[in-house]
Amino acid sequence: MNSINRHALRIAAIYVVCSILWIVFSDRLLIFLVTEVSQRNQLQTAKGLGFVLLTAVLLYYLIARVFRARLVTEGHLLELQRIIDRSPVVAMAWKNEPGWPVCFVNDSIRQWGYCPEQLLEGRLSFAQLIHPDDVTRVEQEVVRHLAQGPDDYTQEYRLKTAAGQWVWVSDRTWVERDAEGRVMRIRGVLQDVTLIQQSQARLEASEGRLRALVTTIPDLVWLKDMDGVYLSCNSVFERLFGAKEAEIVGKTDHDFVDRDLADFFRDNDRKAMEKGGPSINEEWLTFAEDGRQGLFETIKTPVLDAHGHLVGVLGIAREVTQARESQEALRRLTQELEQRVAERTAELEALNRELEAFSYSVSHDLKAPLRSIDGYSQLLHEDYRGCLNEEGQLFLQRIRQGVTQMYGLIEDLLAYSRMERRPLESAPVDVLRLLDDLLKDQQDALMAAGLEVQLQTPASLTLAVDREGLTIALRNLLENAIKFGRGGQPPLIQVRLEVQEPSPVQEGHTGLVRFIVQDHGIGLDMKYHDRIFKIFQRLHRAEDYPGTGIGLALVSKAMQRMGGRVWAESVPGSGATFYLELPQ
Amino acid sequence: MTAFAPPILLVEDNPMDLDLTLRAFQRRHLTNPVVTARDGEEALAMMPLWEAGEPMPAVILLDLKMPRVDGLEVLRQLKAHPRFCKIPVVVLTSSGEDGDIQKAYALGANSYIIKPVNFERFLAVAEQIELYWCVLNQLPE
Repeated sequence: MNSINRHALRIAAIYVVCSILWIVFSDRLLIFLVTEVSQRNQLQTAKGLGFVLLTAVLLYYLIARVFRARLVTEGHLLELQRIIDRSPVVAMAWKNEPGWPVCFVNDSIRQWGYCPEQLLEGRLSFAQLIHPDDVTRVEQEVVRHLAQGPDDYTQEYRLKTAAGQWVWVSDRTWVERDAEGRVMRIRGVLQDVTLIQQSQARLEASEGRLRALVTTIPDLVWLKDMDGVYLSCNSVFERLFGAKEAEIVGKTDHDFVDRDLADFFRDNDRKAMEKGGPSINEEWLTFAEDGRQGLFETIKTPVLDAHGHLVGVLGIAREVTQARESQEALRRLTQELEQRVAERTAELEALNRELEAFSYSVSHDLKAPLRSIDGYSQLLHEDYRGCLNEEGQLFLQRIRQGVTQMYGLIEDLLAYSRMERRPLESAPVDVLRLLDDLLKDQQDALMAAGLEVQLQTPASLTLAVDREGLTIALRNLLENAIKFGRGGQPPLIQVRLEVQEPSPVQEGHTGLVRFIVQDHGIGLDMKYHDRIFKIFQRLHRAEDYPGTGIGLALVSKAMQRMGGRVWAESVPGSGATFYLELPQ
Repeated sequence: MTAFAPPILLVEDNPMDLDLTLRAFQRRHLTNPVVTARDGEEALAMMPLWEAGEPMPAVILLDLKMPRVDGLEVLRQLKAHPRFCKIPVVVLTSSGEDGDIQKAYALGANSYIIKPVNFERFLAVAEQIELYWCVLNQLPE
């Protein structure tokens, strides 16, 4: 303002000097050039008018220029004012007087519900708007800056809005001083940073939670960048390296463990990054903190940024020493068990082979001497009958009877041992046809015993069953019934076939097939029930009912192998009923 | 039958079985001579003799369980021979084991007969063997 005054004064002075000089000089020149007074007066008037005209033009030009410049400035100011007024920024200036009265505030103060005039006119003191908890600090800081600088500073404090809410503002302030360093003005821009503060608080809380998560996990957790430089780790991991996270971050494995192990870690990092997915490996780790060793399962996962670009590797290691030990123990136990089973199986197989060799010998070697006895006794009978008396001939007959009995025993024993060794073959069997065939085989025996067979069966039945096992069981029961049913009343053998369908409700109930063979002969005492199914057990004298004592044992064995069972019911004197039961 | 009737080769280790078999053939007035071998080794030892021109048997009756070389081995070697494979081999044994029957047929046995314990039936078997293999059966030249 002063400079403008001085400038204007200078122009005015120059104008006065120039005008006076022009008037004096032009008057003298006129007197010198025009002698005639009336003409000189006329010219003088004309000169005066010309001067006035010239100065008027000059004045116009100057004033117009000044006004134009002012208009431009005002326009700029207006523009600036509009921008600021619409911006979230509040521009303010304070006088350096007690209480720092506000001497300027723009319209954007209205965002907090105040009119600039309230502050400008002093109806409202700015200090009153600052939060009571903040105001002392803010004032102390201002005093310090005014006294010692720096003159450029930022404060954050809470400000009360007209609606009574508190907003956080960031106040960027400059101090203007005169040549002597006295504070002339304090100016600043204020900005509402509540949202920023809130999101920052949220960010801090979320980071805190994440940190808590990572810190609380009992696993080792760490993060490395693509070059293997540690970015972060949790406290369990700190124990591995025996260093704090701050010391670990920025370094690589090579700074903490020996070269080979570090290379191994690095290789696994690379594998995970190349694979683009988790890579798992196991490793023995030694804790630098206390020298403890443990087996760890480490999962390395590539870390991607928001754009999907690879930025590093996340590592998580969990101790599996104990799990591995129990797994190992279990494995050893299983192995031992397997070995024991294998040994047992081998023993059993050896036993089975021995049994096979045994029955082979029985079949071959036991029969050969029998054949000799039979052959030579026959030859004796044929060629030397004349030399023997009646008793001698009876002896010969007895010898040959013994041979027949022995032969039967051997054959039954062979059948029994074969039943034990033979593999089961399950195939569809037409049961009615099988029964029919068996009955045909027994036709002569039935005739001889004077017995008839009454058959009671469903129209058809096919079973998936071991044909030979079933045949042997049924044949023996039929033979038994013929043998013991002889002379019974009625002279009948009843053969029934009952089918129990699988239960649709009861799970695992497969259904049953029951063969029932009933005779009306001598029957058996039920107190011997269990004995009759054991090998070599006989309830009758051989001369009454010839047999080897193997037949029912064979039936029982066959049923057992087919997953079925056999039992008998009887009343002595009125026949016996035998049941064969097979799962369907 | 002529005097040149080809022999029957009986391979049997059990002396009584051997004796009884021979007697059975005798009883049936068998015309073919019976040559015996007491084990597999002896039976195999006949192969060079046949090569040398001795008459080949019309049929071989072969026991299975014998010391040194058993019947199955004799069967294997016979059936592997280009000429002797044509000699009919009837396994005549006490064993009715399914495994033995399977093995014998797998090796090319022509028949498998279980020796009956009963002598009467044994006689009938001897008769039928002779009738079938020495009279009825026709061999390639």
